[in-house]
Amino acid sequence: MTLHQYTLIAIMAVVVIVLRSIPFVLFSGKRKVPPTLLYLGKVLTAAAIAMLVVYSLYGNLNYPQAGAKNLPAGLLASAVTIILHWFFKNPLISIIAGTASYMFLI
Amino acid sequence: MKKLFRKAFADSLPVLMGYLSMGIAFGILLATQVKGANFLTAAMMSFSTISGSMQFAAVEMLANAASYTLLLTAMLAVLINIRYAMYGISLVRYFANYPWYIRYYLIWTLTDETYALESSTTLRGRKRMYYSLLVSSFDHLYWFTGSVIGAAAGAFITFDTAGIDFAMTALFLVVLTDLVRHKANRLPALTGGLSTLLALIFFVAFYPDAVNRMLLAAMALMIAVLLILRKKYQKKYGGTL
Repeated sequence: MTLHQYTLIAIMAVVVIVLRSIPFVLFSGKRKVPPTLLYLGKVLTAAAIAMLVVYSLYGNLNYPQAGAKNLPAGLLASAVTIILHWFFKNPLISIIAGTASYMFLI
Repeated sequence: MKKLFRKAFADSLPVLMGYLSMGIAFGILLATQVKGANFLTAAMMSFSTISGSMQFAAVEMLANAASYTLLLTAMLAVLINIRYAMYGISLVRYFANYPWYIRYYLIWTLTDETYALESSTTLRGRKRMYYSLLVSSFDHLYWFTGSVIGAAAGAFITFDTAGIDFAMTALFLVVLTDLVRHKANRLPALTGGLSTLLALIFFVAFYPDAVNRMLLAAMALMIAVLLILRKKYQKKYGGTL
């Protein structure tokens, strides 16, 4: 672990705490929340998580051991995860089954 | 008080199952993916941050720390956790009357699941305050314990872990699947996914050495599209956006 890595951990922790505090600092009086901010807050969560899906899937593709099998394996394992979760709504089962099928496929 | 303790613990049991197992998954991932990370690193992160999506994303960032500048890290953290800035809005009126040290602890530990419990309780006054304090402390403890166990166990994993980092992708897929059960999240999710895909293709084609920076382009693009299409999205989903 380098100093840079510890700094990144600290930045992430501080950003999360600041975000959690924002409403209590800004809107504790009678001040109204600007509607644009309210809108962005609602839509950005889904957009950001979709971004992370695409980005981390791209990260999985860089596995040197697997080569050409990576993309189909990643897409197949993603489908397993989504379908299991859509029907059974159990995060642990979906994640373990998805990851296991990916590890098996590559 | 004893009754309140029992109620808070009973209500937090589903979170116990969820946080303990997700915490273990996070710990294993951290210990196997990031060189030099151990249970102390996991303890530090889980004690201070208490955010699943942030910490799973952090594993990738710490493993390739050299390509993450401080600014990029901060911007990513803002985007991934922006929802937390909304949670407080409905709780401000309750928290305002609590002593500052209790208020700050509740704000610091406000996760998705903790928010769900604390915003939906019908308790009022002091009872509500102690209930929230107990729920927050329990959830904090579950997440912390799970990730320390996971990271400690991860140190002993000797079998081939190639592909285990798919767990990160799977976690985000699970969160996304739950989000798009609500129709109002579908177009925003599509906007985010397509923006990222576009930025990714562009950077792989023209700047293959700086693909990590594509996240900044993706964020800018999705915010621009979401703002431009705001009227359309709001009209489509009525009062929910």
